[in-house]
Amino acid sequence: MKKKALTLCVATILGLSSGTVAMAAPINSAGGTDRHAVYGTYQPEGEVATVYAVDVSWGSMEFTYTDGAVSKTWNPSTHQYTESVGEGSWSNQDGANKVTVTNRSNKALTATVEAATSGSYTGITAKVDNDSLSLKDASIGATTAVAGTASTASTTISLSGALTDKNANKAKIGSVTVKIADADTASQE
Amino acid sequence: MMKKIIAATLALTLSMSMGNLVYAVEDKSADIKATYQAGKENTDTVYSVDVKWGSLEYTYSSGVTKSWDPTTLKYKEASGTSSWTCQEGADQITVTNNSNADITASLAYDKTDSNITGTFTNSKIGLKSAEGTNVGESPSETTTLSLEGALSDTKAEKKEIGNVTVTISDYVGTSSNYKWDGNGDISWGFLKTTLTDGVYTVEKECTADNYSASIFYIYNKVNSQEKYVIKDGTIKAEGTYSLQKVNSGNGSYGVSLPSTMALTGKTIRLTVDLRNENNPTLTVKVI
Repeated sequence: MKKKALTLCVATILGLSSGTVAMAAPINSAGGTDRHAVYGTYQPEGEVATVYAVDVSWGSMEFTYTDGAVSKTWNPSTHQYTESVGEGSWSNQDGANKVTVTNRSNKALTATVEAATSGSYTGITAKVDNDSLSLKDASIGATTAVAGTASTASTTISLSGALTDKNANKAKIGSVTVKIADADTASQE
Repeated sequence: MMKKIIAATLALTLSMSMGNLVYAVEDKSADIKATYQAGKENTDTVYSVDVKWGSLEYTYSSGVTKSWDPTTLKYKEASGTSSWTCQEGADQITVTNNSNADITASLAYDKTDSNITGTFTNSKIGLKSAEGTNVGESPSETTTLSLEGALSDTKAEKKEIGNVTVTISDYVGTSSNYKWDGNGDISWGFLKTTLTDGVYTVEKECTADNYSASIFYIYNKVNSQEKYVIKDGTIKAEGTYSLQKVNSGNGSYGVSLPSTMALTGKTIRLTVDLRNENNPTLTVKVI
């Protein structure tokens, strides 16, 4: 009996939730009435589509290699100079090695910065100081009247190794790549 | 009975034993005649009307489309067409008449949210009597409720926004072409259409026991020469009377309802049946 009662309850609940059939007792007199409430549910606007808008600001990426100083030492026994070469160095103008990424999207992003040399310059190593830049969703706090805030992050490129091509003048020795991914996707990788 | 049989036997024995005295007896008979008269049929109206409700659960969509503008870093909104939707059948109300009388189901939408109105595909459902139908095949009709207006409560979730009421009454017809011109103390009016083509009805409250003259005559308002009068000229009680179509004059103008009907405070229902041109009838019923 308990089982039957339970089954009936379940059936009743299902019947009501299906939203199609509900029957009250019959109306048994002229002037008799039956009444049923009407319900409304507000459906929010559909999810706003993601709009990607990322600005990348590049420094000139122009570096200068200065070879190491050559020190000559006279050898009286051989009557010749002995040369020793110091370590060369890379330099650049202020900001020339800077990569700045600005996120104007309505989604949090991660910018991955990669740098690599190529061709006959593979002896030179390009290093990205911070190769993963986190960029906040620019729509945080935004409404139709209030603007959100663009998110900006920067990193720098540094080179090491000797530039052996003494004729190099703004020779292309490699490239820097910025890759954009959704922050939630990037964090899963 | 036994005693009579014994007496008859004894008489027969006596007559036979007397030998010379014999009487001749002639048989006689009388017919017994019977006439059937149908008893008065009293049929009370029993109302039984089922209302099957859809869930009446609706969803409102504003139609506004929101998008991100990366230049201004603001959201943009574009207005579209708002709409009310519901699951299949959720907006339907089905009325089934299991009564032995024609009925009208009147549907009304009462607002709880003043911005939202409800309309029915048919707000007055007329259903014939279930008499003569099989169980499960009673007259039935479905109407659909549509909503209009904006739901301003953006948090609303299955919020009551109104109510639907179904009220049952005897069938409420519309005015027909046939006027029922009352005289005496009963005002004239139009016969109302019924659910059967060619059959019309009218109900009037009586304030006197009898209406001695000119209670009514019936005519076609399109062709006022087409009149119907009681064929035998007299209404004696409740019942069905033959009508006669006359094309001029008022015919037996002055039909009365007798005092024996004791009509004070009662309502008379006149049902005019013009389906059979050769035998139009009027049924008088006190209800």
